[in-house]
Amino acid sequence: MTPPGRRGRRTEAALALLLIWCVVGAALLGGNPYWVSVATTVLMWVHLCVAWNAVGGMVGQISFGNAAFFGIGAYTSTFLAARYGVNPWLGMLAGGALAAAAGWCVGYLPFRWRLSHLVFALLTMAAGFVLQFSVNGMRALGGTNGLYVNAPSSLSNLRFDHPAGYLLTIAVLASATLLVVALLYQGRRGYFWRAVRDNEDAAAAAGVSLFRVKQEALAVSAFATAVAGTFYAQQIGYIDPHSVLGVDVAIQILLFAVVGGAGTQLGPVVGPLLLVPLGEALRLALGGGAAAELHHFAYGAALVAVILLWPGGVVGGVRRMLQSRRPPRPADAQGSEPASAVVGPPRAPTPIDSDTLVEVAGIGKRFGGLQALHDVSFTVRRGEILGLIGPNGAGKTTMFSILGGFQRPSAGEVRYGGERIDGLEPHEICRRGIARTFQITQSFPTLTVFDTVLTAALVRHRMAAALGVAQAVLVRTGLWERRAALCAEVTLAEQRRLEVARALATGPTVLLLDESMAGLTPRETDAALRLLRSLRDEGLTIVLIEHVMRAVMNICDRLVVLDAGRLLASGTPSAVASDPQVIRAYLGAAAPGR
Amino acid sequence: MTLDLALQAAVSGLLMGGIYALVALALALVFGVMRVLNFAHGDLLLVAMYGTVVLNQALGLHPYASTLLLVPLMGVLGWGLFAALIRPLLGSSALMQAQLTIGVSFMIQSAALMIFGADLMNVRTSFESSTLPLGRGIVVGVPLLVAFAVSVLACAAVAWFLARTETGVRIRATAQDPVMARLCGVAVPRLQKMVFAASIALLALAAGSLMTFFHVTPTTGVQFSILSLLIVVLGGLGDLKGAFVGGLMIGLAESLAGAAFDSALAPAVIYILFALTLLFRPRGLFGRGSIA
Repeated sequence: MTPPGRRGRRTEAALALLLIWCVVGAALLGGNPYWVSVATTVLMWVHLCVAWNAVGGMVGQISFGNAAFFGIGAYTSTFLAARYGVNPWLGMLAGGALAAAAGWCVGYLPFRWRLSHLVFALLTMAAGFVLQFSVNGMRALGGTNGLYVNAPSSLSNLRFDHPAGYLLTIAVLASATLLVVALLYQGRRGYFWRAVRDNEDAAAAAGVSLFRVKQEALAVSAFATAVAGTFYAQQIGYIDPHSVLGVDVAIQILLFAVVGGAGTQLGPVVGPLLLVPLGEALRLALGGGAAAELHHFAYGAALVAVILLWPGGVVGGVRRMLQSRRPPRPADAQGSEPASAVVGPPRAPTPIDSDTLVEVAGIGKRFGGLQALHDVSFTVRRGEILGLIGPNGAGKTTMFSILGGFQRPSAGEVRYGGERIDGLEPHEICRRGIARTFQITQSFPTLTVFDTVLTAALVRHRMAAALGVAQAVLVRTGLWERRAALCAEVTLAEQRRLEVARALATGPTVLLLDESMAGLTPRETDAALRLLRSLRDEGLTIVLIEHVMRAVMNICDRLVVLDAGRLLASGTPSAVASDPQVIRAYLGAAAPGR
Repeated sequence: MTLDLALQAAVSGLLMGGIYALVALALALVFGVMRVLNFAHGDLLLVAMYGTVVLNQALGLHPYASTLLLVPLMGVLGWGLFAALIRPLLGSSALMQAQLTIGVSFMIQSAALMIFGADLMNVRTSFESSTLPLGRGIVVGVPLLVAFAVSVLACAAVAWFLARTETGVRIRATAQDPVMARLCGVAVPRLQKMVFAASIALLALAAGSLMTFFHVTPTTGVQFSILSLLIVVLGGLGDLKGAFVGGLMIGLAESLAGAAFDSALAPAVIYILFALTLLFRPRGLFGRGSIA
């Protein structure tokens, strides 16, 4: 079984490769050295855009500063060759490694603290700017005068007499980068990339490490960008801070990719292919001088126009047009429902012996002046269904956020199988076996139902096994029929089931369900209750927040009642229901003296 | 670096910081009211700077006089930009808006290069070299001092307006919770247009004061964009007080770093200072900025 949608993604990558070699073929057949040099420029930008797209488009972390990596590549190889006589191919690798390290440094702060995407964009832009200024002042790197490349022509020197040599080199480099990015994109990582781009909270809840995914993609992007930097230096034979580190280089990379279609595999190839020749034509028509700047102006205008009028770029626009013409596919395109499968008992990474799974001790949480939780303690026992109830604003969801690692408590601790887990990242908690759903459903808008569940399954399994898990979970949760639908298109009831499915696919020991039955019809609620019971019978431990009292009383083994951030009562449903304090919290107190 | 030299650098840095504060304040105001981080902010300042040069060369206007003309003109430019480009994208992702403003920045920069070329341009005034001794050998240029005074006064006026007028209260309400403000009867879209136009008009004030002692090239805009963006994030996204203090801090740091090391490393020092601050105060200096 292959993952659905893979064929489409492969076709797109193949098409992108074909386009690259069409450019090469056309330029070589034309025989005109001028066309060969234009084609070389096009492919260099294609290479840069594909590299940028790996982090900016596919992971949604927009870099305004890839020029920094380009410059690092160009300067590293040129400096090493001039000073120590290092072969430029080796210099290329060294520059790539250095750029990847620089990318890690730039990404560390915004990714570690989950700062706004805007801060990441700004930090990358500022990094490029700082680097340009610093190199301006560095004697050893030639300052504003730049550096020259002096080496006789040969393949091992990455210098050629004939321009076709450069064209073929960059075509091979661009194809290699495209292939590497495509392979990553089509494999497990691609699912994590798309998940992080679509919804970071949901990705973290599915066990995906946001920090690692972003840092990896940034490192790949930086390495590939630096490779093109070395190529540029060898081709032109001269570099200076403005031409390789300037802000306009960074912006042009982004601009070509966005106009082509960021986040698609084809877009970064199409963008430069359309815009670079257009710019060349404008430049020629205006004949050098200051007026030639018009082509930069036109690039900027193209970016603004595409964002305003054609979101998704050229590729996105064309795809929309094709889709609106094609009749809608039947939902069930991949055969009938598979034989009913069992999700199976918990697959916790480290089996826990004790009967108490989760221990919440003295948890407090303060938001500014608001004490959302105060000294709350309870335990979750193996194999039970524990209900967490209380009036609105009691702190139930805050409690879940702390259990799931989305918030840190101001006081107290949470232990899971004896290990302290408060303060761990959401994905770390998920991987230990606690999975949560969200009250306000969190989905990946551009992923299908199947891909969402598959992403969660891939955290713990290899592809082949994950496909099986995803299939079993979808059948169990009644979503198999809808597997090909986009998450943005499913109904509320299905979204709630999808939340549960995503959590189940991570292979949890403890399932945290936040109002997963809110807004469901009685029939849907019954189905949900059946599912929960059968999961418990297979050994899963469930904690649920619920307002639907029928469900709570019906299914829970024990209840914990919160009111205004404090623990009010706990015990069996019947005991809690007759507790006078609980009745007062829900129905209000009788006026004193009556 | 001697103490006197450090003091001199500190004084001129702080004065320059006052101008950064005004530029950053305008940026923070826009972010606060419409959650748009304008990467073309410095380039709009650049437009006003070139405007000052043109008015001076064509009509012989003193930069201060041309400010009077440029403030309404820049306001109109801001108005038009908002209506044509910003308004249609309100509510879409912050990154889309950022990329759009980067496109605008790119257009302004290339237009400047086309029209004015890459050379330095400045404005000659009668008092450009007059200075004021402050004792201990510390000297400040009168134009810089005036620019500082104008900027700080403008910031104070904005603060007064926000705190004391009805429109100011509406603006603050919108910045805190646009949906709630709308439900309370604030005409949010109109307010946003007004704030955007006013912020861009404020840039004309900064430009007029700057051009009495500063020069302009097509890349000056990007420089100011990055500086003011760093300041706004440093101060906490949307936090006006943070932006003001951040402006002073960055001005001070830049000047001290320039005196201590060499000027090529000054941006690196600012970057490191910025990153360190963010490491310990991810929500800005006063911890009140929005994180998303």
